[in-house]
Amino acid sequence: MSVNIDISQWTPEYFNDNESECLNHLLQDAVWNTIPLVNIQNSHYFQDMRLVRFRGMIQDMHDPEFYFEKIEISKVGTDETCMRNGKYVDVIQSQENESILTDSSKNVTKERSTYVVISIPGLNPWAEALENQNSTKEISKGDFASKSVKRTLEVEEMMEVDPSTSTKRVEDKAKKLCSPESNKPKNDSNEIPQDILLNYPIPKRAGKTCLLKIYNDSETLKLNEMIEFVGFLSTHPMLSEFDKNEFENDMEVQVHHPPASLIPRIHCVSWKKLQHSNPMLHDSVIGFDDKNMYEAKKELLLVLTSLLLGDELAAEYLICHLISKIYMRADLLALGKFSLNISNVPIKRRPEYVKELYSILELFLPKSHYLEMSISNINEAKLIPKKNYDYNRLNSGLLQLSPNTHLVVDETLLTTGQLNSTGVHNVRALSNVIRNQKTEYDFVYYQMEYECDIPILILSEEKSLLPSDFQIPLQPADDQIEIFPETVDAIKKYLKPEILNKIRIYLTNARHNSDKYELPQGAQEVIEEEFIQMRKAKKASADDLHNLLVLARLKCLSDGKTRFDDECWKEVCQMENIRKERIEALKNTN
Amino acid sequence: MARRNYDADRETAKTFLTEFCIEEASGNKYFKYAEQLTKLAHREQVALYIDLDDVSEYNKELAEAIINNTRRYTNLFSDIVHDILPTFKTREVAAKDVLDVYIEHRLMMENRMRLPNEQRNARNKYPPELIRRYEIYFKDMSETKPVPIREIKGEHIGKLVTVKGIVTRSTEVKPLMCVATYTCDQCGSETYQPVSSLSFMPVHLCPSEDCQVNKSGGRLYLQTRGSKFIKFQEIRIQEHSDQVPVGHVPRSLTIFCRGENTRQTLPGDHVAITGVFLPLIRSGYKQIVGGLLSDTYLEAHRIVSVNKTAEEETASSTLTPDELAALTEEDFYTKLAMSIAPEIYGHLDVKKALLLLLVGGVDRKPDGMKIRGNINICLMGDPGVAKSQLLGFISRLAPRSQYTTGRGSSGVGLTAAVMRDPLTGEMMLEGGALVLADKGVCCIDEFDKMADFDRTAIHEVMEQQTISIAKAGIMTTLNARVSILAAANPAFGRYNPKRTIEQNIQLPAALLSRFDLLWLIQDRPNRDNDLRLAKHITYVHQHCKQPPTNVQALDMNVMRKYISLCKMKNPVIPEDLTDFIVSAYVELRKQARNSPDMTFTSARNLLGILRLSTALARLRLANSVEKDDVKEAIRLLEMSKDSLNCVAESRGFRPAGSVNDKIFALIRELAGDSKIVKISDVLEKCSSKGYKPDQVDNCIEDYEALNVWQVNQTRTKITFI
Repeated sequence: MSVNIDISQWTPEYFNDNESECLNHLLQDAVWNTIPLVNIQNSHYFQDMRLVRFRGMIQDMHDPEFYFEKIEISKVGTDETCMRNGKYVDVIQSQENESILTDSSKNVTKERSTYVVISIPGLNPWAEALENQNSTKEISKGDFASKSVKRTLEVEEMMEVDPSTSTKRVEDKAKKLCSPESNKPKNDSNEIPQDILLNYPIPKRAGKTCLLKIYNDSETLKLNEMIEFVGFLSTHPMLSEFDKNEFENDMEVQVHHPPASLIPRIHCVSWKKLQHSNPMLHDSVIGFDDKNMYEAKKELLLVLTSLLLGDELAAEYLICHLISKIYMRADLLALGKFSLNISNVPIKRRPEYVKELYSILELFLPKSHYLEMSISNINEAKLIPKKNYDYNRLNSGLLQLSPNTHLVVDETLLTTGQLNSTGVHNVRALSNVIRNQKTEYDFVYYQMEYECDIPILILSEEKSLLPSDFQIPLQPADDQIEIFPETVDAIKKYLKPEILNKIRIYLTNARHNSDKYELPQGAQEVIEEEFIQMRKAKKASADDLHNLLVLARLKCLSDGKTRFDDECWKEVCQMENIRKERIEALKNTN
Repeated sequence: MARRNYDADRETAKTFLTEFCIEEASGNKYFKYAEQLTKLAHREQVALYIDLDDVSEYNKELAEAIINNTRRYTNLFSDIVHDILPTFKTREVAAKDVLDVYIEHRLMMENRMRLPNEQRNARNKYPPELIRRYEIYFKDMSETKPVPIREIKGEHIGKLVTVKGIVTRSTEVKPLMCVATYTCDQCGSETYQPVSSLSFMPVHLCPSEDCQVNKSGGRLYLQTRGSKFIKFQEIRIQEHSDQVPVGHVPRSLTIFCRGENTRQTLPGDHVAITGVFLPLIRSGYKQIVGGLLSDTYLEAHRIVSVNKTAEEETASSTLTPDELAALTEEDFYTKLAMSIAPEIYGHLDVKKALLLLLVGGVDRKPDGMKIRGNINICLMGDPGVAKSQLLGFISRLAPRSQYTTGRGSSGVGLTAAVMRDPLTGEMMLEGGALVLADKGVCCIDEFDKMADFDRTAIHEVMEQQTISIAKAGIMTTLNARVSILAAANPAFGRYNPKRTIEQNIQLPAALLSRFDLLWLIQDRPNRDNDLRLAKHITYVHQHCKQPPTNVQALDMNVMRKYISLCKMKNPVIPEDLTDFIVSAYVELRKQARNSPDMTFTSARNLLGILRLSTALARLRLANSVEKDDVKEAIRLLEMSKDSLNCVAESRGFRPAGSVNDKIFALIRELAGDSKIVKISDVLEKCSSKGYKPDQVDNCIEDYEALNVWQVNQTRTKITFI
């Protein structure tokens, strides 16, 4: 595929002049994909004021700022004036003998929003690696990587040839700032450490943070959405230069103007909302036909069954959990959520069980996180995002995750002990996510509710202290517990790349088919009859029916079907009955 | 746009200030601004607030011009006041502070230096900012609506806007240099430099005539005491949570307050601020860096702290005609009730009761005795019957509410606690959920698991609506005018109909009797209901939306507005209803004595009926209670009792078809000694007991068939045989 336009040569100036034409070019995937991705490499590999791509999640939104879209510039000593563009740039390029006329009536003031975007939190190593691989391939196709290093040098030379008052001074700084030493925390006590600037929901798993300047339709973007942006990179070192004594709210200024080498600015020209973050499948989910789906499911079921110590029922529930997605919301109702509590984990005999389980799940899921629910961890963890008014920004918390990021809660680590108030809040926030798939962000003076879609899997010895939609006591086969370490090894050997990839595509595909799922009119009677029988037989509430219908939906989808059928319904009812019997049986033995 | 003629405006403004007057009821003219100007002249007042309503009344165009270019007109008015102020001075004013003395001396010096016949006002030599000791502010027109912070855009620059928000940060009040005064070390003359931005560049060389001519190169030294400073404070306000679109982060706005507008707010206050939206002019290096950016701020003109109640009132006034029309439709009572937690199916009577709880009855204070109007409701029931959802919904719907569990999550618990301030070490009171929900609803889940301390305190709250604290040297009474909505689980997992409520809930009767209504929500299989429920749920899953109902659930905001509208009414109970209420109460007592009742009936029930019926009248936006209100109140009371008692029925305490028996017993009772009963009386009686007309009809027919009585042709009378 040949790209006959050289996108790497576009400058903000050129883009402004040919905006609609350029945007048309960007509509083509082939062009779009040649734009280098900032996620992978450090921003100083890229040239300033050239198009870059960034894939991430919106973490915070700053107050909008006013900028001059057009600004008049006069030559000192003469009456000559000209107009310059201020869109998509941070600093106006002006010569020594030019001055900016800020009061000119010809200036056009516009508003733009600044969003803080972080690379998608919880992205698992395999997905990251694959993403790197994909995009370096694309970039080398555009022959960008080889040039880029050289070009930055050229530019620096050029700047020295043509020095200007401000850039001269800045230049020296630029060298200092761009050098790797500047990334190390400085001794200056006033300096805010890097990890605070980066503001990442999962502190241990670092990512990249960018400040995105959005020029239009910024209202359509919401917090925590996954988006791929294309825009002009701006790493002008002057951006983080400010006179610290001038401002009272020093901390805020520092946070809002971090070093451009650490947190680059991107002036966004276009964006795409991402449906998923599986690098195996791109924008359009084409994926598998029914037959492939069916086979992939068989593989996955096999793996999970042996992983769950021979419990096939639990494996079925786990698959449903892995492909769950919220498809409808109404006030307190969030349909499609499927939080699963696998209890009766043989922790006494296999203390490493949960970690091993997670290490396998991690291989399937593009985004996941393992949360240790121990007293100390839950007392200290920052789960809820909180507004910090000193910095004037939203401090991220673990529950600020993009949709469909799996959270695996290990409750087997829980011991008796005292929860402090943070701990109580954290537990409450987790329950709120499980019940309503909403998180209340703390804005100190009030709380704001944000919707989320975080499937939660809880592994516990007894019934979890957190609520859950489905609780299934594990029924491990004795011999399976015995040979568990060998099983894990075998599974790891069995999961060859092609099988792994198949499962990965399968999971994303099944989740996406959710939109195509149909519940035919005729099915209604079967369902109603079943419910009435359920009510007669024993206590069953509206929630039970909701759950049953969700389970039926996910079961169908997991089998590669997109239409409800009686067969599936029967299976689901059967599954639920066995599950309830297990819970009853467990109660009685206690 | 044509340039405004500022000279003309100047004249208009001048006459406005001197001549604007309000005719008082007594016929006297009150010169609103002239009087204030006199005060300004005598240094008794600092800030002059010019009400744009008045300006608009005087000259509409001028008012508009002011709103669109406020900064300029502030200066214009300031100049005018400066010019005309001496004319208002009627007596000598004693110097109030150092600056006054300075100014006086300066003027005196200046006068002495000049030749006596020189036509020159001594004051002109000085920058006007130095001499002026007043501040001019504009008050926005009363009909202008506050602009949401999110909507403040570039087009508002330079204009007067009013915004509402919550203060998130306020800096210390600091002196801001307004006019810098220097003295020269050579010639000793004073030099003044007005400062308009946040920073300034000091002058070093003396510009005075002496120094210029002699080239003596006098150095200037800043005179702190001779300079003029004004108070300056920077605050930041943030949007209210309801103005933030879903999935967005609240926005904030920086406000600069000067002079009299400082120290008006603290973080956490709800405020309405009128001010001029301006770009921040930076100087020096920052300007080059920013280059393309301009920070903005609001220059405060008027700051008003808004308490929550005032906010509620304004909310009610904005009920649109459409919304009102929807509300005044027939059967809006049911409609409103159905709109409570629409995702929870059924339980209409419970929802009706909750609606009344939100509206509340009328408080009475005859001769210092206080009778609460707030309605308390307790929901009981087996686990998993959506009690918590109902509580959660109410706490979200009520404008002021607290949701807590009986165990309480903080150390403060439900009532209040005395805490030691970690910083100062002082003792202080910290209010618990009940205090925080004052004038609102306190939803308490797991009421039965309440701490013992709270349990004793809640007795007082539920009847006297106060909390008394006597510990750690602090003795006080806090208001807790709350409606309590409690949810309790039965002590033995399930409600046991063979035991009394006290035994079931394990709460003392004294506490339970303080609830106006006690509901037992039970979940029993019933084919018809189950089928409807199943249909409903399947529909939701099929079409990904709530099924259309004949009653469209009202929006939460509309509900809130309507409820706050209702709360403004204070209906009275007319004299002629007294007999009816009394007899109804006597009836209740009699019944309680005669039947093996699981509940209790006391004088509190009578008050409960009154509260419920006033709440019903409020709901109709009526000024007096009608008979129907009382009937409905009694019906709800009956239904709530039934919900407790009918458990017993279904467990075989009484044979099936007991409804008929009950109705028969009622009719028998009604008949008394006479043999003839009017059917209209029967219907009325029965409906007040919670029976439906068709049930009554059934009963009448059944017993007619049994030849117990006869019904006349027109079906108006029953005659016993």
